[in-house]
Amino acid sequence: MIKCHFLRFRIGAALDAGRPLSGRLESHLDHCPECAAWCHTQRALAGRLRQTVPMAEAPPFLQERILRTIGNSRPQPEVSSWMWWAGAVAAAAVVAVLAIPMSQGGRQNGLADTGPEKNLLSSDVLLASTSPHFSSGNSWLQSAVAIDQPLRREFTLLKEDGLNTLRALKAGFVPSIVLPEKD
Amino acid sequence: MTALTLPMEIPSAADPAAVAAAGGSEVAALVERARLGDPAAFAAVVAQFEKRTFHFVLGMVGNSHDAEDITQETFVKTWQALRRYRPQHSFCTWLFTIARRTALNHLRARRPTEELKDHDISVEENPGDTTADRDDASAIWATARRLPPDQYDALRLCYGEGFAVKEVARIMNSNSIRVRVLLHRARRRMAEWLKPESPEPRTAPRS
Repeated sequence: MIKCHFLRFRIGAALDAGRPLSGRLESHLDHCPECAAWCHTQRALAGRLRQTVPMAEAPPFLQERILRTIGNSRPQPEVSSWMWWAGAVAAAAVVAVLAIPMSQGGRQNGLADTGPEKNLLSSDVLLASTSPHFSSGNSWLQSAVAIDQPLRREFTLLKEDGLNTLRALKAGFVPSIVLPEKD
Repeated sequence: MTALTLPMEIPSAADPAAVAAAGGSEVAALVERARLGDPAAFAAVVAQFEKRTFHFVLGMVGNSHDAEDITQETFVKTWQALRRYRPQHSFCTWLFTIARRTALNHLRARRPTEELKDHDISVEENPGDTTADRDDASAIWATARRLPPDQYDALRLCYGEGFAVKEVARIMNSNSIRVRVLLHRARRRMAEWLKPESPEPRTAPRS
């Protein structure tokens, strides 16, 4: 009986795939009238299911509605997984770097007292994180400086350029933002 | 916004198996053009798969109004994500995966408001079919709709849409073994229900 149970499963799998039964299955059916009857029923059912597929008529306006919604847009550009992760890590790092000095009240860098400059710096760094030039999670500091240059202002994030922020934060390093004097 | 026109030479997909077998390379060429941003090529893709997608979704959600919205959303999502499509996989499988997920999201957000009406479904007619044949076919798929949702989806994708078990597994975000089990249970239950003396089956609601 257990054998019949497993063989019926295999018979069903063959019917689902639309392939003929193997010799072993056929020989079992020759000796087992119950499985032969079961197979006959299942084969007939599979045939009836395949023969007539019900198909609802889609409304005639649906196609036009779809195409109107799509309009003149284009497929969205592909974002590769490594770019996505690099962007996510970089954005998280930038947010962490900005959040910690703010929570420290700017005591270590004296920037909190300058008011508008601090806000400008925050927005610029966030701008850098979404820039297409901002592609590498490990070189985000250099990228941030590079993006900021067209704005004709320079600043340095962390004194050690290229330091991996996550590693620094894990080591207990408190990042600071220093605004150098202009030339 | 410019209205798009459909190329006249694109056939509609009345026969899923025929489209799957004969239209594979044609569909691939259309999809490739659509990936490059050609809306006319995508319009042809919509023309080919709209009917199948609509009916598959209708079987899942149970009313034609929701099925229209979900079909539209499916094709919009497909268009937007077209550059993520990998040509080594079947486009049809990918499309149905999106359609099923969109329908499931819809069902999670809103319970079905209306039972599937008999007039929503019409049986595809073959010239040689008698009225009795059509009634039989209508009855068999009406019975299938009373299966648990996963079993119905597997049965519909395998027997109705002609997908292989592996493709059904991909669409259902599952594995081949589970799909085989679903199909086995669905057939076994159907055979019991379709016996002349069998009791009226109870409908399994989608949760």
